[in-house]
Amino acid sequence: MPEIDHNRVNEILEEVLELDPSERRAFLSSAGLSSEVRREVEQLLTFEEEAAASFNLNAVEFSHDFLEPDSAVPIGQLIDVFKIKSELGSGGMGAVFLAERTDGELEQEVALKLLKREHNTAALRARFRKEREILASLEHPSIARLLNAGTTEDGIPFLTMEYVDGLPIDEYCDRHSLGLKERLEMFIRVCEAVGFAHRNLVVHRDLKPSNILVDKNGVPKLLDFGISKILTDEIGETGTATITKLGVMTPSYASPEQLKKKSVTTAADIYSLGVILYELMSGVRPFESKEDDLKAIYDAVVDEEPPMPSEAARTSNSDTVSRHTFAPARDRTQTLSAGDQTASSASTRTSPEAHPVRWQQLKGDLDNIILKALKKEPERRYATAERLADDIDRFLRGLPVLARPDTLMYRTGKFLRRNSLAAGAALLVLLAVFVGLGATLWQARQTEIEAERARAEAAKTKEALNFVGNILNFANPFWSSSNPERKRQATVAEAMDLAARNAEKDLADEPEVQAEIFFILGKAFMGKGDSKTSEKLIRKAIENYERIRGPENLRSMQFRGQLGNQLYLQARFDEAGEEYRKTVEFLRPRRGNDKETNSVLAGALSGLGNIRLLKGDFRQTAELNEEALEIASGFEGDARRMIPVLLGNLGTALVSLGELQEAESVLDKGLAELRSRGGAANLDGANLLRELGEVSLLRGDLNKAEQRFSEAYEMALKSVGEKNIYTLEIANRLVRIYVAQRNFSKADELLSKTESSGRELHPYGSVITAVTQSLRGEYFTRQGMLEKGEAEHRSALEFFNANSKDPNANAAAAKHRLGMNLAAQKRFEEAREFMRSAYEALLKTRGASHPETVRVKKELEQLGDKQ
Amino acid sequence: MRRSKSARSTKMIEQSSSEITQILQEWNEGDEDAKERLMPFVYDELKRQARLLMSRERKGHTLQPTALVHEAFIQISKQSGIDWKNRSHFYGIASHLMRQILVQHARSRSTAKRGNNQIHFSIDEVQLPVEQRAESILILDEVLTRLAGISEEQSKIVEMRFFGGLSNEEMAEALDISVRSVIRKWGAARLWLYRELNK
Repeated sequence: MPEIDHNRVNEILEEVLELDPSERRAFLSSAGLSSEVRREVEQLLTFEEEAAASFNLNAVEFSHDFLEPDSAVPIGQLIDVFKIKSELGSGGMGAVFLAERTDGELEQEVALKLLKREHNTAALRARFRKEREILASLEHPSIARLLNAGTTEDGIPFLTMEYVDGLPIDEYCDRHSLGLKERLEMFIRVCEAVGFAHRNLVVHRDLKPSNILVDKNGVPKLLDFGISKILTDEIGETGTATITKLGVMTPSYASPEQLKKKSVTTAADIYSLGVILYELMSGVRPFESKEDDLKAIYDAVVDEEPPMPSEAARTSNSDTVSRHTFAPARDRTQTLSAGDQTASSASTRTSPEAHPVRWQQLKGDLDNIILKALKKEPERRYATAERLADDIDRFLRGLPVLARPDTLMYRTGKFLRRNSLAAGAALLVLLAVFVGLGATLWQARQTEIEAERARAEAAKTKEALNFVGNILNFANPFWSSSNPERKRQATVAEAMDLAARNAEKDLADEPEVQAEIFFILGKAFMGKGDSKTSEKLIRKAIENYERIRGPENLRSMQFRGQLGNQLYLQARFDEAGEEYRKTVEFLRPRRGNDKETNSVLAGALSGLGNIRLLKGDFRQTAELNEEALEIASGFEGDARRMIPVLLGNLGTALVSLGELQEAESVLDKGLAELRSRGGAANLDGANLLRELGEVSLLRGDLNKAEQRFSEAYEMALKSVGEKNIYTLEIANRLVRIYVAQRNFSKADELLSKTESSGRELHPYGSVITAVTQSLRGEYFTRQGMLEKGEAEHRSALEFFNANSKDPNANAAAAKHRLGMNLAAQKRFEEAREFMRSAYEALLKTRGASHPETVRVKKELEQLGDKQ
Repeated sequence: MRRSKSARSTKMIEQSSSEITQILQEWNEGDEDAKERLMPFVYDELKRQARLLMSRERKGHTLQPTALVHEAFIQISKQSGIDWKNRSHFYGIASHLMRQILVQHARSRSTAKRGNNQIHFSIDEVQLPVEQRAESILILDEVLTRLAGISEEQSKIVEMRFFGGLSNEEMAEALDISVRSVIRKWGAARLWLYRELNK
């Protein structure tokens, strides 16, 4: 490789920088450069933004504290009336020594904190005087007292405080291998001390493990209360940045508002407590992996949702090596800290033994509690430290905690954003959340099938996407970021955005081509889980065709079918139904030889069927699916994959109508169709068997039902694994059988499995997980643990009520189970209320003759007017 | 201890003031070698100023290299008592000496483990622990020496800006180029620096 002519590069660079960015490319092309020089110049130019943001400091500012003459204090030296015994540690603010009073007044060991000269002694003293009264009132067994402020002969300000001989709380917990309960109890004491200080109007502002020492009696003591205020206000008044000036805050424990230099309230301490609890429970800090890079940790604290503590614990426990590599970062936070009384002691906690708290213990309540303390918005955290302590206490006593996961839509949106490429899963999440899985939306199933395929060909797909991404990338100088992370993310998502924008702009003169592009992109965005954009693009495609060819044209109607799916997936069922209806009405008379027309029509019929199913109009659902099937029977090759899905949906409708004979024959046909196409041992086969199991169950043949559900479950496990909503759905049905058979050990085993998979798949709940929860309630109830059962039922019911306005079978079942539970508790009045409500819902959704309706009615009658 | 040390260096400068006067005179008259001979004095003065500024109790003060360099200039010209024509040249020298002083300090504070050290020198980096910042200064020094091999002027500009805290105008005067050139060269230099520092 020839040596690059750096002088030439520099000359060119200087010239290019003078130019407007839009002129640069032309200049570079015409400058007659060798390819090496040009490449070098272009590469350097990509750093423009980052380079401009760097180098804002000058060297003296950057190194001011090591310019200072060495201020080591010799052991034995007298400072004021204090004799220095040993150095305890040093940090950004100054060194801390163990010292002894020599004025004979009291035999007292103190921690003496020698501050840096830059602290204004007079102001410091004034502030100390002002705060002294408040600080003096902070008399609490878990708060180390601030004693005095003074100045050395050399004029260096110092503070003295109660000396605590102990270990930082995290280290203490690790050394003594404290388990979950003991850690939480210890932490509650910390919260109480913080709460006490808050009530006395003192905010700590720099809570972290090294400021919470645990003495040999196991009593936690908080250091440095009030100090940050004394120190920072002095700086704050001059209007310069507190954080950067003093290194007061340790970024790992600082709240978003502190990093953003916004006003700091007690909520900042709650946040820091959250980080500490996170660390005590999981062994790692929320953004520990980012702590090596200050910019990254800052951005993460301000913008990113922390990983769930249980998840963090799971990954860090399973990988002790990575825990070990985090050690240096921790070392650093200790040197940074304002007033450590202990010397850095990082190495002890990275022992390769497993953390004494198991990650499974954190799932659910503790995750929720910790994440509530870590909310970005101060007002969404616990209002006080006591509230936090109370919630932990409730957890310890097995009571429901106040912390709740974020609201459903919020989380769902997040999920979709985060997993934008996991197409199948993303699409089906909304279905699972709002509807459950009675029926299968063919288009969603198709997307999932495609996603399955895509996963199998992941490497190939990625390459293709990168290829497209790079082509688009090339056209857009905006992306020439040197940050590889950003570049990677940019590739697919932003490429699609750009393509959409470009199509809008460049293809305005060719509306039909533009419409086709919009449609393709619309489908791509649907696959990515971005329903909103997809909807917008498809609507534009429809508009284009309607403008050119009039309101009723084949192509725009074909697009409408897709728009319906899009709306369905956004749970906008009425609008979806309207689009399906328009599509069906237009395409029905045009059925013929056009494959696409036929396929869209069959899809729209099935989609409309799904909407009717939701409304409880099973008859029409069945008819629509039958019509779709008639069309689909003419399909060939891959297009026939639709048939078993349609048969399955028809079967579901027939089961709901109580027409079990008919349902069984339709479902068997589905299985036969699958077998003729290479085997039924796949998800479609599992879904058909699931409905067949339901048929047996409704006939009261528990054994047959168990057999069919088991087979379906095995198939689903094999083809899509246990973390799949279809698998979970089938498992739920199997659990129902086990509970009914009073086979509690099998029920428990399967429930535990589904609970954990469900939580992983839908961490914030879905219809599926709520059903699982209701079944767990049933599991308790049947074994006589009525209160526990009731709690699970109520929680599941709460989910159903919150997420579905219409009466539905799931809610009805949950009400029914809760009613039976209450009856067993002899709370007949309440029991009747729920049973009645369940009965009414069943009447509406399933009709009076459905076996389940009949059963609930009978049970309600048996309850009679018992008091 | 500290007081006597600074007293000593003050004294030293006083003793040498006639010598400084002599050197400055020669430099003013165009003797470039005089620059070399002036350096030790400027160096001492800068260190003295740094210490003075560090210990002066001023509310919310930040140590600015500009202040250091200017203060050193004032002191030296006061002592020499001559009409100073090469102020900006002096600043250039002072910047270079500041670099030496800081590198020296950094060396004593650095934990001497080199390698993948991300440095940006942006405002937030003040939070970095002393050792890492010391390390950053040493790395910057190395990179800057390499830059001098490619463009002496760019390297000077970085030096004057970062270590001397000089303004664009002062740098333009010291290098005898236009302000616009300074800005342009700084723009190019920092691209290169950024890349090298983040390699």
